[in-house]
Amino acid sequence: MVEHKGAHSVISHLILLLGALLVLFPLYIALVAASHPAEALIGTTPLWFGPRLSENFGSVLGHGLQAAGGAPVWRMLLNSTIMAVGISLGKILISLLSAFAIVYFRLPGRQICFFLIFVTLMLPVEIRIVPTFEVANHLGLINNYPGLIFPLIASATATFLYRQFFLTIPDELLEAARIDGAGPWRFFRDVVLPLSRTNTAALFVVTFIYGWNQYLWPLLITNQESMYTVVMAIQRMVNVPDAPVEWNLVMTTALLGLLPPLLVVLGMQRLFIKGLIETEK
Amino acid sequence: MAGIELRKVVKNFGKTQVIEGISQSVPDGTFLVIVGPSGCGKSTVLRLIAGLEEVTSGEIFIGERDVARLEPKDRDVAMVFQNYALYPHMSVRENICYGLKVRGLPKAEQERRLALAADMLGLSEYLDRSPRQLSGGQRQRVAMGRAIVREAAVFLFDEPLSNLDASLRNQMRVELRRLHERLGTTSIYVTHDQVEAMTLAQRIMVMNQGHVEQYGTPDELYLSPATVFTARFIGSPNMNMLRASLERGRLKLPGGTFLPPIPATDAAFTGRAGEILLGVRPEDLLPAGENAPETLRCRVELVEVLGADTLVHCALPNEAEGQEPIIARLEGSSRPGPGDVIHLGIRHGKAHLFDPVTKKRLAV
Amino acid sequence: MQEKRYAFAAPRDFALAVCFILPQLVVTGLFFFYPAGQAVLGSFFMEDAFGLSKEFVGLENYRRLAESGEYLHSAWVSLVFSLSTVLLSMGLALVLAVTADQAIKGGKFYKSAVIIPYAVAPPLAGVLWMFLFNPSGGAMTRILAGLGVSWNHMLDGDQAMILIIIAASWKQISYNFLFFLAGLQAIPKSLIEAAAIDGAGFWRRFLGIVFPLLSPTTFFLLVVNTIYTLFETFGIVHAVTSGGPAQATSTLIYKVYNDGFVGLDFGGSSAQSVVLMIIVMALTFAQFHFVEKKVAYQ
Repeated sequence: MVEHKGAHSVISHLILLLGALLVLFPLYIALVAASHPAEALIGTTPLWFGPRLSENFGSVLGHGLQAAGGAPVWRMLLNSTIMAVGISLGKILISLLSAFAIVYFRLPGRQICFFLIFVTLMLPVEIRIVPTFEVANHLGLINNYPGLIFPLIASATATFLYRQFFLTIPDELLEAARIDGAGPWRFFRDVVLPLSRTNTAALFVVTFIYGWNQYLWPLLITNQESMYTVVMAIQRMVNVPDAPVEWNLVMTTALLGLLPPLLVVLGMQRLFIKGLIETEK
Repeated sequence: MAGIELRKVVKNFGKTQVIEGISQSVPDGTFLVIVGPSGCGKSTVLRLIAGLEEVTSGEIFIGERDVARLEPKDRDVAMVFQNYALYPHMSVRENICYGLKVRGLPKAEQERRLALAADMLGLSEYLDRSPRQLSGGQRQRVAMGRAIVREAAVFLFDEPLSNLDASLRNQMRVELRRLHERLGTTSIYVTHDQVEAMTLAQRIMVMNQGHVEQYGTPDELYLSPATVFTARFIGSPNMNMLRASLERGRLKLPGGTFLPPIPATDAAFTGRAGEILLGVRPEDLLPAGENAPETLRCRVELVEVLGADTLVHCALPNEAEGQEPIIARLEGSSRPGPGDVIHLGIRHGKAHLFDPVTKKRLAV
Repeated sequence: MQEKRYAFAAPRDFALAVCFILPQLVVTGLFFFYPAGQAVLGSFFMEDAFGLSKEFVGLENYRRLAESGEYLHSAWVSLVFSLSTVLLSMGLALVLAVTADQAIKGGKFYKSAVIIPYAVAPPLAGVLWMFLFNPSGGAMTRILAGLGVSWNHMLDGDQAMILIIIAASWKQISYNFLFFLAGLQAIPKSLIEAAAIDGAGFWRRFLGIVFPLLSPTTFFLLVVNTIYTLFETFGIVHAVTSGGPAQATSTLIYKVYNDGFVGLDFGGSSAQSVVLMIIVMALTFAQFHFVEKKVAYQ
């Protein structure tokens, strides 16, 4: 490493500090706003904390925002959690299985299958919303958890990640297992699955955030407040017709909506970075 | 336990034939080493026997059964891989017992076999470690333990020692030998290292480009190699191969020297004349007096002092094309210098003659 | 395609393989290929105002798009938005990554701080910044007022655009930072040291060695960020500006949604979807072409 001394190091710290402030500033202001009564935010923004933090959290979690329909946020958090966990588990399960089938079987047509899965990279949900919504509608996937989850679990990137990982498992391991008498299912369960642990955990972190942060799809597929997710509901809170925005409660809800993925990212930073970098490369 | 017999075994990869119809039987209890340069098909033969590759045609008998079309697990073979192929997430104990567990052996029987193998291999203290915590030699032992507990009819080894350092390799070689003497299981061992082959084998199969060059005991291969290929492959440094000619029943060397007459009784030579290949091992070249007849007169180019003996690289003048290289293994005390001219004689009865076209041995 | 030396090939094992691959194929077929096909098909039809009958109109929907001032405006909006967001977030991320790549004290704290926005969903990021720029007393609005700038993104289209660019860039800094950092850490330190010994100063080392070696990462990020700004930022636009004021922030993807779900013009929306699909395909192919070249070069 080339040494950096004195002035250079000070400049480095300064740049990073500015970057960190830029990144954290909106979150700080949101937290401050979430600690004030509604009156304190009319026509101004306080820069220091007020006394109402726990009341605001309690009110939002328990009762939601009256002006925006009033579904309690705990319910939205529950929906978001079910959706995010469902999407993660679903993606992991079907990707793990399909990658195993593609790599470990001389199945005729496996390359076509892989290609088909791969092409989905080019079809983000936003592009094909109308017809996808119609399919979901036909299948009765409106206003329920399967509707929030299933259309989002197909994953080219996860399949690709598992395939790449399986290709790095030494061939001899399969050969040894075959001679030891293990068939495909046993090999999958006893060898491949345990060896994929770290990758699966990393993938879980990334897909959890992906699932939690879904916006457009829940917006389309739910129209009952009891099925709203917290990320999609925020939009209704800031776009209330004919009433002032209750910024203190909106910011409280926003913080609640970003807290779970934030904790996952910070708490499992190494897994998160591994998952992020490896699914994309 | 059982013997192995290959009958006209052919293997094609696409349009390339990699195994050209091998027929060979290996008696029960034999330690057979298959040796050859990389790409000769030796590993393929092993994998065909294991069932990891499917034969294109032919039969493979293990004992009385033709196993050529059976799954690996149904062939009653155990295999040790070059990179050990230990399951990284299982402990030593689980690794060794996995094959028994899959086969549904009772726990008590698993434990009995595990204890026996662990004791035999000195692994008893390491059973709960993970492979990551073991040295290369220990991992190799675990891989062998996995084979031993299976009590299979045949052990297959795919270059199992090539990832170890030299001293460990020597030690493991001895252990393998002892193990075989104790268990007596028919074993097939693939290596590219001819020293390993010579020291381990009861029988050696030399392979080259998909066919068998020679099958025999280490002694047979060393003392009477059947082809030029085997002659040069077995022994280190390689056997010297000189172009010579037969004139009036006598062998004439490139330098113009005549060798002692070949016994006229040898059928292979009656009426034969012209080009011939003369093979002499470096250790069969002896220093001779300056005026002795029937010697090779050559110029020293390089001397390697090994202690017990000295390797002398020489150039032998050749009428047609200038000179040919020749290596002699002399006693440790002899120290010719580069540029010296020395005279070498061939040890009696140690000249190997080959047909220059078919590259086959001409009996002497 | 890369393959294993040995794999299960017995036909009786294939039942399991089919069971393994089927869920993925069913989901993909149902929610990806069928809808995509419907979009392509639908783009050749036009529905009457009541959705009662459909008529095949060939390329009429595309022709209308090409002639629609609104659509071209939307394309221009997307271009400005994407370009600004990509440049802003990648630029900032690169500066931060290069700085953080040097071993300095407290690096872990800075790194943790910079990756936080990744966790924030785009619409939430939008709402956070919306609050800061709230025309009635937002923190930034007051600062700007102090500088003599009157801010109201609800009335001023350019200001609305600036707001969503800031929110979208803020959210994307984390991602770009992590990839730039990974790219920088993959550069052999010996190269940099050799250059330093040769007397190259910081800028020379950066421009002559670091930046060229970082170009695969940069190219990758360019593609991914473009796709991000085209699609994932829908939530920001929808939550913050709803495409307004006066269509000033109506990006292509917002328009697909708005025409299809609000305007109920299925044919027109489908044609727009197909155009976007073609853009994504082009970007993806460009990326893979580049990746392959890189592999061949190595």
